[in-house]
Amino acid sequence: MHKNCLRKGKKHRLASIEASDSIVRHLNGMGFVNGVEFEIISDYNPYIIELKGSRLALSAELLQCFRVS
Amino acid sequence: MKMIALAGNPNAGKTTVFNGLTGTRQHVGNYPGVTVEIKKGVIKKTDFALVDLPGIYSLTPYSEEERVARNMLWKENPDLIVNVVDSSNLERNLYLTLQLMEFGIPVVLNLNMQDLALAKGWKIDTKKLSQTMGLPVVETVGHKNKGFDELIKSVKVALGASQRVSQTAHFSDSVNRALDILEKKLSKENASGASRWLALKLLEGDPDIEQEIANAEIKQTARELVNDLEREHNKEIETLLAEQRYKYIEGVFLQCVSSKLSFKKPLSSKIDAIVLNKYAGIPIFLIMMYLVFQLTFTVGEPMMGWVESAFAWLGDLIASFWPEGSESLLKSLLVDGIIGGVGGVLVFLPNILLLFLAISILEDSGYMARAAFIMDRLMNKIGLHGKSFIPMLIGFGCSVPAIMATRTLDNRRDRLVTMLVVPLMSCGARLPIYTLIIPAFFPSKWHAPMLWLIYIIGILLAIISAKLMRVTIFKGETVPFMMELPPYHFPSLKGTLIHMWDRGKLYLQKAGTLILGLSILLWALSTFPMLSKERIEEYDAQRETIVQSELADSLQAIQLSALDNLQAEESVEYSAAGRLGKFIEPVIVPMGFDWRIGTSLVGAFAAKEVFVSTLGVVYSVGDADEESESLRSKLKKNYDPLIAFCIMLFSLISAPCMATIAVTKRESNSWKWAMFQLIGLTLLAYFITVAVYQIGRLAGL
Repeated sequence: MHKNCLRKGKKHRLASIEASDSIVRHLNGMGFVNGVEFEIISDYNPYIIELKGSRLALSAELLQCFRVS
Repeated sequence: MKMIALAGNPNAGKTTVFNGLTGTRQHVGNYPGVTVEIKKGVIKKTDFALVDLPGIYSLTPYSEEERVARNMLWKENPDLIVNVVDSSNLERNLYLTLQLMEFGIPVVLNLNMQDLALAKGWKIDTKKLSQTMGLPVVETVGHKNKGFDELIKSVKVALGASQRVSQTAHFSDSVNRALDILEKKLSKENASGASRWLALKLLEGDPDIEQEIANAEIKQTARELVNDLEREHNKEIETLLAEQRYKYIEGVFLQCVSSKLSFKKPLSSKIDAIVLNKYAGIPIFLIMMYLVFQLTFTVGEPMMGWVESAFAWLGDLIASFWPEGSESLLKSLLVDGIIGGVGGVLVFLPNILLLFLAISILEDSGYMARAAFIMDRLMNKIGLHGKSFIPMLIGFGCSVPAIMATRTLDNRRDRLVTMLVVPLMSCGARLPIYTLIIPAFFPSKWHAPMLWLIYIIGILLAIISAKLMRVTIFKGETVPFMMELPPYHFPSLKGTLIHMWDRGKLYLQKAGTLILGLSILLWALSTFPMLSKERIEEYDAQRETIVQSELADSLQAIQLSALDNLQAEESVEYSAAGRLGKFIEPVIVPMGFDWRIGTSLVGAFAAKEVFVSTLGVVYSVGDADEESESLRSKLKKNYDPLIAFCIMLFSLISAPCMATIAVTKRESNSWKWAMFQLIGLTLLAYFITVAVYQIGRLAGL
């Protein structure tokens, strides 16, 4: 995900996660699966993401592994 | 006895359900990692054992606590799983439910926090959910104690019909065909009934399961099947399986949940907008920390006085059973050894309880998870994870629970570094040392800044040590920060008090066992061997001479008191404790310490707070504690502010207590790291204290 996409209030649809298997599995467990929609709530590292009504904090480093559509 | 496991995502309310089902009072927190250990109990009015597992997102572990939970399910094979689900977060929580169904052990689905789902405008059709997923479904509102009787009834029914069947119908035909092939091969070697689940884990590439399966042919088949599936679907296997699970869950959710659109911004969002604000976040966090210390020290001070008075009264009461001036050994053991030793430590209990009360409020409200979030940037700079901050904060109370809390960290390197630096966060047991020394050597306007300085030195050393370890022995990438921020809760009085008491109880237990035993041992070491009969007779003769002299009564009293102190000091010097102190004196002299401080430091290794009572014994002032004026005046007579500062510095940095070393060994699963912590911190303390003392002397301090 490019830095420009990480602006507060932006909504994205996850296309894929390019990270190690264990991180992908853990993110899957937290609800990040291809096709899911999420919103950036806070654009200060670590970022706050709203996903299906829950709030999750993710580092910028991790969000850079996200491919969105 | 039937065994039931309680499993669920972090913050789903498992511990509340555990307390409701068993009637026990385990601590409930509102941040991931409250259940760092597996807790066991018995369900009310039954003989079913209930096991509370740490929160997990998946049955393929990512962190140590997830591994603990998964291994319990896998290795101990419970008869039933109660899956506690946060109803207001149903879709994400059902991901674990599906994995538990794949595991095969019968599952009862517990829709907890129904009130939050209703507040969100959701109505969950539990009957339909039960039919669709093929599971018994029971609603509860844990914090209001609602629905537990129905849950117990459902557990009883489910146990009667329990049969292990791994459910994988939500996967595509091609995945199920691959599972059939692997299951057939595995069932020839594995009689546990978990062959289909093991087959699924092999497809997922779970490293623990791959290690467990010895048969190379099976592993090769799994690899080939994975390649086929990835080619067919044009995506990685974990993504494929996760997508199929979520697709099924989405269907279930749409069928079973009807929602009214709510345009109201949740309260948690409003609070987060302030406390997690880019500019206000850190100042708010610092204010919170200041309030925690203010509560601990300011409110705790008068309470310390009450405890002190109570022990003084008890000591006088016990002493009154003997005639005045009696030299009875039993009296000395009870009054000076036991009441003096244990009392000197228990006087600190109010501060410990208040500190735990503050930490408990922060945890239960949900702020602690935000604190980890706020601190992540800073922690990252020193090569640690934001989550490392929580164990470090708990370390200000006690290093033992703090080291256990490192289980929430996802990576072993982060865990070990955090574990090793946690003792540098000045724990509550060191506070009696500071509160004894600071008022004795520094003017009152310097009391608070000196205490603050000691804490800051500990924090800075922890930061520097962590950074050094991360660039040397623990090289490697820091695990990226990912953490769920639970909704804010108003902490319940009951829950907060339970939490405070559970941790305070450990301190009391330590005082009643370890410190009691040590007090008796230290009393014996400082009493035996006793001065020779001839030497005692010489002192008695000198007393007789003073009494027979024509000096005024007041002068006689002064001389007699000075003689008593002289005899007491000679007795301690002659005793085993004194000899031990003398033995190590050459090593500690470069820090400005004498044999008396040396003897007390040996006692402090068992438990830091024992330093004060040992010093009291060594200086023969009876029931010494950190408020003891007689001990303070003796210290002031014998040492200067530089030595006093060095005592505090050495106590802060040197080896933590025995209990901390033991828990480091257990949590790191290695004596190597426990010994590294013990020797490393002691050497660090030694070199820093020698440097400070010698430079201070050169500077004319």
